[in-house]
Amino acid sequence: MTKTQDPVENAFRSLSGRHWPEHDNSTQLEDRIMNHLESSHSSTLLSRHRTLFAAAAVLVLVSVGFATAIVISRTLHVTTEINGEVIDSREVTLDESGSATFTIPTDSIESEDGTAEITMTLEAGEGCEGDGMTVAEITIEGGGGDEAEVSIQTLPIESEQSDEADE
Amino acid sequence: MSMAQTQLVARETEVPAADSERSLIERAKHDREAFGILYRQHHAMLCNHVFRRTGDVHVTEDLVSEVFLTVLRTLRRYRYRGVPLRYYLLRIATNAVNRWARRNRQHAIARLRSNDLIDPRTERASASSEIDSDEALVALLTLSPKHQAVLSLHYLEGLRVDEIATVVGCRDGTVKSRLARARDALREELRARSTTHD
Repeated sequence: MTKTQDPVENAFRSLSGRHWPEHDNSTQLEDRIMNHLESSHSSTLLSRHRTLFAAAAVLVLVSVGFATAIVISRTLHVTTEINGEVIDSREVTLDESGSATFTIPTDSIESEDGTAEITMTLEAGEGCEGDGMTVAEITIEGGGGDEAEVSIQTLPIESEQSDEADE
Repeated sequence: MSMAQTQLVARETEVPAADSERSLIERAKHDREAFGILYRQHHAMLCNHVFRRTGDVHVTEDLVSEVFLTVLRTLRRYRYRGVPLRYYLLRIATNAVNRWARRNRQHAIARLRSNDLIDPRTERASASSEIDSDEALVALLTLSPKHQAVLSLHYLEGLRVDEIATVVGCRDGTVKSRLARARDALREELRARSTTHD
């Protein structure tokens, strides 16, 4: 390879001279990963149960909401699934305008066309002020790198249903 | 031929044929032995890549473990579409190193400057090299992780713009402009360091 005067190429030529040493613990890592592979079946089953539980909880929440009223919840439990796998689950606290922002990891997404199927499940948190449900708009931005920003904006209470609730 | 092109030619001879890689991936979704083959095929490449970006043996071991555990978690959903698995692995590794760099690069730079980061068992840059590899790594670490990533993928892994775009998940044009900005930033950093040393 011919040497150039470009400091960038020279720097990388120098860095290329570094090689990972042959370590014995590569075998240890392989063993560790293989053991993890053995136990992955049971953990997959566990995560499926979690997802089903979240879906069931939302169904209950929605049915209660229509039967009674729509109220604003101050905290939400947000579960994010990407391509069918739960990748994030957290409590978010809404600010005074009823919105919240947080980031989710997207580094494990396998997508050639830059798209992924994202499902977000919102459950009312402990600070919920009633029995109802929160209507929210969710915006997801980014994701081309290793994170995407999620914005949740709860919508104003719809007057028709509020009136029903007052009655 | 540029350095990146030279490395690419060397690398292409090592890439497994598409059909055999596809079938190996399918087997590895359920078969421990097949996963072991994938692991051994890519382990050294990932270790070298991560090590050249972090300069730390222990960090490299941790991050490469993280990469393979992520692969283990996600491989069942992976659908082979003719894109070499190597790119998928490099994407996970790049994200892992970028996360590490965001949190730890200042600390890593300080340790590199005190020269106690490099494992003595590793090969150092040749004496004839114009820029010491520690200096090169310190300069690289001063850049933003995204800039570090595109430069490393291009110069260390020999990837073309379209291949880098596949790895980092953005458009070719974005990679091109990011590469140009990253090159300028690194060149400036290296010049500044060389002036300081003079």
